[in-house]
Amino acid sequence: MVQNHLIAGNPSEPKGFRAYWATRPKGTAIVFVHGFNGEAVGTWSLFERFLPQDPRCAGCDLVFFQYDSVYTNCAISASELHTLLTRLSTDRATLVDETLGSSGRPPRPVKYKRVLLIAHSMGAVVARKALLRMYRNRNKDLWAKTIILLLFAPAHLGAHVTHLVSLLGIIPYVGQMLPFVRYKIPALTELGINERGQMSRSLEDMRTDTKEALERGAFYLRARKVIFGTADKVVVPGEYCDDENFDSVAGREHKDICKPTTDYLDPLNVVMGFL
Amino acid sequence: MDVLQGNLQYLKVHYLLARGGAKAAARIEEAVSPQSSRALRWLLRHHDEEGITDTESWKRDEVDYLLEYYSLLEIACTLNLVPWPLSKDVADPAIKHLEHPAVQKYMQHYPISLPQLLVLRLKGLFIGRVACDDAPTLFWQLLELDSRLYNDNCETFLWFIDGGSRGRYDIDSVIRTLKSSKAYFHAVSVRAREITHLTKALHGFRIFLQFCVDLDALLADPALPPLFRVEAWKYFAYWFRNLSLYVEENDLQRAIGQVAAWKQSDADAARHTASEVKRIRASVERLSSGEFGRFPNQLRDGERPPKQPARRTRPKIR
Repeated sequence: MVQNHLIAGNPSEPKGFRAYWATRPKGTAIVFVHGFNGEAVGTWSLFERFLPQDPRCAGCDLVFFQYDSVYTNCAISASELHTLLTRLSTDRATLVDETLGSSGRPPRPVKYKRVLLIAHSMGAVVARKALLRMYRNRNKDLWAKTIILLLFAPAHLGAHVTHLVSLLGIIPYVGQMLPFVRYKIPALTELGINERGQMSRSLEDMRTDTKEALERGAFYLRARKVIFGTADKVVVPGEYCDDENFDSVAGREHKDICKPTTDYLDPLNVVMGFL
Repeated sequence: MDVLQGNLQYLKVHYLLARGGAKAAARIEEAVSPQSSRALRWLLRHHDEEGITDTESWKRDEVDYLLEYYSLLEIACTLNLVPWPLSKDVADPAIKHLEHPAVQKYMQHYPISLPQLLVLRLKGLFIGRVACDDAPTLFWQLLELDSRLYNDNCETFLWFIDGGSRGRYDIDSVIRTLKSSKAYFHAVSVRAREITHLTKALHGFRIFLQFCVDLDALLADPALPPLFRVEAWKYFAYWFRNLSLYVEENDLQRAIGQVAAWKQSDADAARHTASEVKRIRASVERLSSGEFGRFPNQLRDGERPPKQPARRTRPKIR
């Protein structure tokens, strides 16, 4: 295999991103956003193995965004993602040079024609909030229209806290402890649904803002693919604003719905379908 | 930019310079006089000779990072991912650092074999290479797995299984906490400002278990080039050795059960939990047995991993 990418990004830094920069970029970036308690690359494993090997991805930049999903609320993480997307679209050359540590290299201007923004679980909320920031900034972020949003098990309609907590490896062995955990970990309050199945205020606001933005032509906020696993007990499945109707994959759980393997290639095929 | 140069540059920037390995390199280069060489040998002594102080342990960490860099360089050479032969400005310092008597002794105290393999390779005594189509992605996967261990939580857990302690916590505190669902629950579900070293180590343990499952899945792939499998396992082997040294078998099994399980009333969830626990246990057992560290022709039917050595005591504080 010809090596078509260069690995970049500081592996010692818990926040930021990991990237596989195309050596001969052709104007496409794929940006991955992990979910609650996920990892930049680990959440998506084995995308990082399959994509660089695929000739169709030879000219694509692969970016794995990393953020603190437990103790930082979605709005803050969304602003970090917005900053990364802005830099990626307006100043890729500098970003590449900074992360490869080769500042002597002359920058090569690349204009993205297409940015696939792929998010899992809580990452869908972070990604959508980042896109809403772009919408509010619409006079400056003209490149937003290059974005194609793809979602795996999105938590935009909320999540069941007991199951969300299980992603932390905590044993919710007594129901009465849940308010205590909610209070300690803000992300649970933001994503969790209450006993009556209602979403948090934050998610309600996001839905209202998304509807309004879509009515005003911010089509990049419309997810072009939404997938849930039938065995997912964490997030609440359902249709959302003007998003494409969701698809379901039999037998897949919350954590493995977005992980391609040699015998489950659906996530890879979804991404490839948009290249 | 040439991709092979780019790969080498990446290793230098992030694994030599950013993590502090370069400081250790400078320290080794300065240790030429008998007196400074003696000082370096003392810094890199076996912990049984005399306990390691706080300052010393930071300096020894830098040596560890330097050795990690050379280990990754060795694997990159195996996979043909860096220019070969290595330029003099890379090869000469490597031999100088790794052949320093104090460093040689250190690698005997704490068995690390990949840097020694690199020295042999640089001298033309080892020529193992792998011609493999997906070499870059295999290497990147290894780097991604490595990066999972490089965070505050995992670092604390790994420090504990290296015999270290922080504040009033050590590996015994972790094991004790994992024995009780209630204690574990309370230690893990805390606000950001209430996080203790114990909380970090417990999160670190969970991350380490997931790391084990993913590393095991990578190494168990029958299509993997055998030399890469051996070297990739050896890169992490120190931690599996420590895990065997510091955590009793029964405690480990119980801890895995605690972290992987959550009590649910429905039978589906219980079945899933049981299979999850089984999977994690199998991965940890395979990785700790050292079977991935041997070439296939060295494995014999029914061969068992060596008996675990007695637990050592190592006063390390940080």
